[in-house]
Amino acid sequence: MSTALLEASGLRKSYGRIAVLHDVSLTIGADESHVVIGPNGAGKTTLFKVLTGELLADKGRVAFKGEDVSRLPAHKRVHRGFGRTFQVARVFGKLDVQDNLRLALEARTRRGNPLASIGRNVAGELAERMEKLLVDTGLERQRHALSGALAYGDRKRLELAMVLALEPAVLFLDEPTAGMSAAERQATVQMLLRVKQQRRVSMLLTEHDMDVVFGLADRISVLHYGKLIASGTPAEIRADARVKEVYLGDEDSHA
Amino acid sequence: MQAADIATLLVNSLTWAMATFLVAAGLTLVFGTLHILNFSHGGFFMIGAYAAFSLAQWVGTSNSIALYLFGSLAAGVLVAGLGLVVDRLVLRRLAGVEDAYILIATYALLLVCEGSTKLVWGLKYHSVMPPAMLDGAWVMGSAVVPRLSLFIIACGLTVFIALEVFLNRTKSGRLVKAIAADPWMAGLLGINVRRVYTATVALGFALAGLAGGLLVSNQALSPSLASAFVIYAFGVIIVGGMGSISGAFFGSILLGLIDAIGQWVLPGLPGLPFFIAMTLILLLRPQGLMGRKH
Amino acid sequence: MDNRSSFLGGPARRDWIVLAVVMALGLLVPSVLNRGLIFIAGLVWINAVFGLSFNLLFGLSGVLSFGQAMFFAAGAYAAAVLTQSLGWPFLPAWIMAAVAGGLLAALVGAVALRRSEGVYFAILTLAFAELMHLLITNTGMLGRNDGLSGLARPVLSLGAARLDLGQGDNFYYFIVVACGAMIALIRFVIGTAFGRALQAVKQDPERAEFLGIPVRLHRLVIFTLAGMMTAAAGALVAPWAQIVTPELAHWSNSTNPILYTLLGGSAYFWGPALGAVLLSAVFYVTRTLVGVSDLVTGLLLLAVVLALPGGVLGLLARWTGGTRGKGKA
Repeated sequence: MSTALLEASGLRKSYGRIAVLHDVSLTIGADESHVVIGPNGAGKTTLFKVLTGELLADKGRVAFKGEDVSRLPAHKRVHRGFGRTFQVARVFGKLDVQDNLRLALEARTRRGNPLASIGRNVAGELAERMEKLLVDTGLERQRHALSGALAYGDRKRLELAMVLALEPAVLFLDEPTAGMSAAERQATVQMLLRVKQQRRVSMLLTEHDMDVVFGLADRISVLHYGKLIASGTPAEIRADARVKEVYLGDEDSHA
Repeated sequence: MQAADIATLLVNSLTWAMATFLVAAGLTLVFGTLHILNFSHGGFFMIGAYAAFSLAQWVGTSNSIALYLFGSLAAGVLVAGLGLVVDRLVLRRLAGVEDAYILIATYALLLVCEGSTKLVWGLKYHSVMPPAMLDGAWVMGSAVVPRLSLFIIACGLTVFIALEVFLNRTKSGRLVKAIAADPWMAGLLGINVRRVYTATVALGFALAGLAGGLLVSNQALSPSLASAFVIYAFGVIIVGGMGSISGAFFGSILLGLIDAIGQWVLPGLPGLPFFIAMTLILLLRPQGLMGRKH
Repeated sequence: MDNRSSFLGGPARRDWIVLAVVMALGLLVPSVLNRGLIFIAGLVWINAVFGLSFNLLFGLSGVLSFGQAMFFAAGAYAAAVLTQSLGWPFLPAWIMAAVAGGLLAALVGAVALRRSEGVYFAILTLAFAELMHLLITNTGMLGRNDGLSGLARPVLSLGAARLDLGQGDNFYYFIVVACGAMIALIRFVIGTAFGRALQAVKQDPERAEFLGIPVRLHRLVIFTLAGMMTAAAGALVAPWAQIVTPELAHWSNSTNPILYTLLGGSAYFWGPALGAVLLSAVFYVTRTLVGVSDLVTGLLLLAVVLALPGGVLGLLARWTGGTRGKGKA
């Protein structure tokens, strides 16, 4: 598909003799938010790791904007336009919010070159962009707060801001609403929708909460024991018999 | 290469291997269980050797192997006692500390060992004569095999077998292995993990002291003894797989042979083959021959 | 900037002022102290640079090397061989010695940094340093165990001017200026975006990687730079002590910068320098009592790790109100 932004085909990954991913293929288009669901242990995290470069697949191909990135290390994929957040938000706890963003902006500007930006005041040049990030994620009043001391929800927002500073084309969000209250979850969904619309990024996320899934997803893929058993629009997935049998069967199952 | 030369090469490398294994055994045991790489292990080995030396001086010249062995055991007990003190004062406090600082702390302990040794025994080189039965050599054809070498090889083998039996066939030993594998689970099962740790440390130090006593006649006694053995012991347990006794055993044999062969091929650079082998293995298979991938 | 954020790039001006003051004091030393102590003072400057370059690895980037002595010795021997055997003038020899250290570090780093677990790296650096020590003691051209002696203090000819550094305390002054320049360079690197990225790498390498920071490359570059600075410091020992011995490559020399850094405080820019001063004092005071210096050093280090992980400067910071904006993270 020429409009596919990210195309994964035939991904296979085993840990020792245990196969975690069997021949997984999926595509993400531009401006698409794609949610991967599946029971625990289905291989969602491994899929994430393989797509973002934390792990290399044993077999299969990952292509981004037509380029084969299957064997590229994680940081190179980030340069190409990948952004990743972690299930437990990872920020630089000893630094304040602003400095965390500054790091992200500098990393973006330097593109991995140790000698780049010497003598430049990147943060100063990009002050406007930093402001916008703070406002978009609702952190403008906490810019001097120590990130390690932030409330959990704020830390997740900071992490998102840092990743957005990289100007990604695809965002990989690992359970972005994990551990949140219902109200926080709603707020996060709204924020992600806004981000997607304003910044024209695609998203791939894993989620357990069905409200979030159906609130965000343009398309859904279902993973079961390392195999992709269905992929399509929310309506298609809701109607899919296999999916119902395996996962959505019990409508009360929320995270 | 003649048969006699091969025999000499084999005996020398096995002697070195077993001596190094004797030192490395306690080190790898403590690492496998507590995940602390005890830099000072070589220092306590040295203290064990000096203690055996002092004992020999005190008892006077004797030609009894039994006394030699007794001296080694006494050294082991002494160093085990020191180990309990070290555990109480230092190792326990390193529980939540970053790896880098643990390495530095145990290195500091090594300095304390070296300084104390210099203070108590001075800088002079000493030597301890082995008992008559272990002195001299057997002549087999054109090969000359020092009796002390055979003794050391026998000691190494004995300690290896004893440790393997202990760890795999006894209840306490299997407890140590269980805790090494999963301390959290062990704690949940009601095992007093702290007590097993302390016992393991004591055993590890006892082995260091014992090695010191057994090897006291093998080389000259000087405060640089610790440094000499530390790197070789590290190399051996890395090659063998950190935490594995059998790994240390076979690793030391492998490295001993590689070094001996390397020296025969390229004389004049002692220790070079050892380093090359160690580096290669660290790069290609960092978990060692028998280690598990982290 | 909020003082609670322990991010460097803020109080750089204060560090420049401190450097200026320290250099001024350093230049006053020959008028106050006797020859023997001036010699020690020179060594303290050199060791301060040694400690500061170690902390580029440890405090800044979270890389623990137990083998920095190999670069120190490489610099010292390179300078000795280039000036004595090959007749090079001192300044080019000094630069070449630094380059040699950098190349060696790049080589060792390329090999040792392949696996990221810290313990393996520490032991590999220890092993490489031991290898270097071994090679030096077995090389006739380098003087084996006796080293190379009779090294002259150089005469610098810069264009029309001639500076005889062998006269009086001139070489001491040169050391102060040279070390001051090196300290300034180290401080500069810490304040760049690269320096900040290294702090990120230290705090959370995975997060850094996923910000697009190539972790292994950054570690390699800083390791190379530290090797270069260490060699440059070591190179000054050649004309200062006028002899270079394999002791410089012995692993106890690798642990010296670790001692300086931890004692002074690894989270503070000046920590290693302060540690170098304090430990030199300790070594000097205990030098005649056999074994005491090892014992005292070991106990000090243990005390610092167990009770005072922030070092002396950390203690001072706590006493003066607990602000951590003093230096590096």
